[in-house]
Amino acid sequence: MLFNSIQFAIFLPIVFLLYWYVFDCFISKSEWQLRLQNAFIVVASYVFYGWWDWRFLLLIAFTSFCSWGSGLLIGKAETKNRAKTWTTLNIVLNLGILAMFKYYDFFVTEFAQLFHISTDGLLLKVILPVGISFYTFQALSYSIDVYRGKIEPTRDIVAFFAFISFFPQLVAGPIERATNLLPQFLKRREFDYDTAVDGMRQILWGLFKKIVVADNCAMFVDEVFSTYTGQSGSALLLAAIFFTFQIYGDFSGYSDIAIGTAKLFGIKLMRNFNVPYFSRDIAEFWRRWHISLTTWFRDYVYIPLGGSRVSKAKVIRNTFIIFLVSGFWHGANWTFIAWGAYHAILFLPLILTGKNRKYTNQVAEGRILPTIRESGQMLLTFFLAVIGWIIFRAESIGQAWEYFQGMLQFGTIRASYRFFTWSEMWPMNIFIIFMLSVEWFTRNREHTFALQSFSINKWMRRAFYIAVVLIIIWYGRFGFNQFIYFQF
Amino acid sequence: MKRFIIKTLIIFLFALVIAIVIEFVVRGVPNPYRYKISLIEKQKEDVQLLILGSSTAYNGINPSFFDKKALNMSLGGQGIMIDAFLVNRYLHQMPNLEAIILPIGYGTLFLPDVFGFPDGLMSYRVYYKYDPNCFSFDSYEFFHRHSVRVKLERMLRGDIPQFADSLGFHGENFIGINFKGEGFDFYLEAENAINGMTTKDHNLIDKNIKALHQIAELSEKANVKLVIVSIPFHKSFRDLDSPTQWSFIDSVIDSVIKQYDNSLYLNYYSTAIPDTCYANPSHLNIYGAELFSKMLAHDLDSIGVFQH
Repeated sequence: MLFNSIQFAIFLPIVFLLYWYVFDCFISKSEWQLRLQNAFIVVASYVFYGWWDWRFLLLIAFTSFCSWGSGLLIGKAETKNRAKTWTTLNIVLNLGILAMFKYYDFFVTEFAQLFHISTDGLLLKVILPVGISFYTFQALSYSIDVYRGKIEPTRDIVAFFAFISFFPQLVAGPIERATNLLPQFLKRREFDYDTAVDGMRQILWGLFKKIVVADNCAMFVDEVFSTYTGQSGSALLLAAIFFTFQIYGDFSGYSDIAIGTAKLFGIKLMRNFNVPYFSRDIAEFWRRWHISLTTWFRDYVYIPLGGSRVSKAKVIRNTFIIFLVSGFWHGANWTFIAWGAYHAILFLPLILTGKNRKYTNQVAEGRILPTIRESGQMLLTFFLAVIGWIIFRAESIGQAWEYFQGMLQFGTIRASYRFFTWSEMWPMNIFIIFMLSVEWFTRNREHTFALQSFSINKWMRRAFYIAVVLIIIWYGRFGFNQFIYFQF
Repeated sequence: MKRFIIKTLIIFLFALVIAIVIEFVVRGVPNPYRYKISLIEKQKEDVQLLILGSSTAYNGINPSFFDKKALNMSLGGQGIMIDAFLVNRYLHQMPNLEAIILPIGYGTLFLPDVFGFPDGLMSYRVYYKYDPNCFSFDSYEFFHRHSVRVKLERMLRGDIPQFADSLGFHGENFIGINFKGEGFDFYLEAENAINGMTTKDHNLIDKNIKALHQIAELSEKANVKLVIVSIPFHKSFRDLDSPTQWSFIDSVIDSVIKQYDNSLYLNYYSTAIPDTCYANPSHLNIYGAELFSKMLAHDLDSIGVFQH
C-alpha cells in the first residue's frame, strides 16, 4: 500500500479511529489498552504490508521472532562471550536473509562473469521484499543495543513485533533505534491534540514534496534518462538537477508522511532529513541526508571500527568502508558502490583536515539570507550532490559514464521535446522554488510545517493549508510512482 | 480527540466545498462536449442520419448538404468505443433514424476510446456519462487542472467560441487547421500525423473491433443502415501510410459487411480532392467538407440507403 494511494487514504482514518476510539472507549484497564493498542498496530501493519505481497509477512514475522528471541537469550546469557555468540548469530541470520534476497544473484553473476562460468541453475531470481533493508537494520539495532546494555531485552513479544513492523516506517524508514522506538511501545499512548495536528501538517508537506515535486520531476527525468544518448548536454544537465530534487522530494516526502502518520498514533520517530541541500560542505550534507541510515552506520560500523580516533590510514579505511557499505546497502549494483566511493573521496579531505564537523549549525543562523560565501558553498555542495545522483540514478557504470560525456556536449535543448514546453515546465520550476523557499524560512524548525512555524493569523494559516491541498490535487501526479526508496 | 477530528474534517470539508464550487462553475462553462450532447438531446426525435467519428468527420462531413435531417455527433479524438456508446444509448430514442455514418480511418481501430486530448476521457465521463459506474478522478472536472484553467479563463474573458453549428459541424470554427496556403509542407505534417496512429496493443484493437461489431449489431436490430466510410486523406498521407495496416482494416470491415446485411462500406480514402480542400493531410477544410459531403450525399441517394 502506497502513502499516495486511495487505499491508504481509506486505510489510515479507519486504523486511526479504531486505534483511539475502540481501545480507549470500550476497554478501561490500562494494561489491556496497551496490549490491544500494540496488537492492533501489528495487525494494521501486517495488512499494510500484506497489501503489497502477503507471502513476505512470514519473513517479517520470522525476522521479528528471531530478533526478539535473541534479545532474551542475550539478556539471559551468563557470560559476555555467550551474549556475543547470540548477538553474532542474530546478525548473521538477519544479514544472511538480506544477502540471500538482495545480493545473492548479484554476487553469483559477478563471479560467473569473472571466471567465465554459466549461471544456469545458480540464480535464485527471487523478488526483493519491499523494505527488507530497513526492517533488517532495525532488528539488528535491537540485538546490538541489548548486547551493549543500552536497552533491556523485552519479554513483550507483541510490543516487539509492533516495533519491527510499525507500518508508517516499515517499508522505507526512518530506520529506528530500539532505544528510541521500543520504549514507546511499552507504555500506553494517549491522544495528544497538538501532536496529532503536527502530524497532519507534516503529512501534508510530505505529500506536497512527493506528489507535486518529485512525481512531476520524475516525468521529465525518466524520459531523459531513458533516451539519454539522443539528448543534448543541457537537457542531460537539467534532468540531473531535476533528479536531485526528485529524490529529495520523494524520500524526504516519504519520511515526512511516515513521521507525521506515526504522530497520529502517538509515536515519535526520529528525523530523517534536515534541509540537506542547504549544506555548506559534503560532511554537513551527510549529517542532513537520510539521517537514520548515516547515524546507523556511524554507531554500528564506523565507531566500532575505531571511527576517527585511530591512525590516518585507518581513518581513510573506515571512511571508505562506511561509504561503500552504505552505497551497497542501497542495492546490488556497481553504481551504488561507485556512488558511495565518490562520496568517500569527497569526504576524505574534510575528515583528514579535521574540518568534517566545521558546520554543525544551520546556515545563516539568525539571518534571513545567506552570505555570498555561504551561497557559493551551498551551490558547490549541491553541484557535487548532483554529480553523485547521476551515478546513483544510472543503470550501470557505463551508462553513468556516457551520461557525463553527453553532459559535456552542450547544445540547445531540443525544441520538439514535449516536456520542455513552457506550460509543462513552469509548474515544476515554481514548485521547486516554493519548496526550497518554504524550507529555507523554516529551516530551524523540527519540520517545515511544525507548530511553531506559523505565527500568522489562524485563518491565514488554514487558507494556506487548503491552498496546499488544492495544489496537491491539481498539480500532483496520482497513481504514478512508487517511492524510489521502496526498492532498497 | 473530538476536537482534532472535527477540525480535520472542517479543513477537508472546506477543501471539498471549494472543489464542489469549482466543479459546479467549470461544468457551467460552455464546451464542445456539453454542446454536442445538448444537440443530440434536442434533436434526437427528428434525426434521420447520424454522423459519428473523430475530428476527420467533425471537420469533413457537413450535415447541411444532406437531404435528410442529419446530425454530426463526431468530436476531436472520439474513438469508436465512444461511437458505440452513443449508438447504444440513443439508437432507441431516435424513431426516425434511417442511417448511421461511421467513419473508419487509418488509426480508428488502433487508438483508445479517446485520443489526442488529455482531458477528453474526463469530458466524456462528465458530460456524456460515459462509463458512469467507474469511480475515477476522470469523472470530475476538478481534478483536471488544465481543463479547469482553460474553462475559468474562458469564462472570465467571456470568450466562448462556437464549437459547432446547429447540426454539429465544426466548419468555419476549425480555424486552427484551415488551409494554410502555398508552401505548406504536407509531407512533414503527414509524417507527424501517421506517427502514433498505430499500436501493438492487441487488447485495444480487440476492444475497437468489438465496438464496431456492437454498432453493426445494434443498427441491424433497429433496422438502421450502417454506412462505414473512409474519409479522403491527402496524397502525402497516403504515400507514407502502411499498406499492412490498411489490409488489416479492410479485412475487419469486410467481416462486418459480410456478417451484417444492413451495413455497407464506402471507401473515399484515395478520392482525388484538390490540395486547397485540405486543412492538413488528414483533415478536410470547409471547402473539402462541402465537396465531400455533397459527394457522399449523392452516393447515399444513388445506393438507396434511405428508404423514403
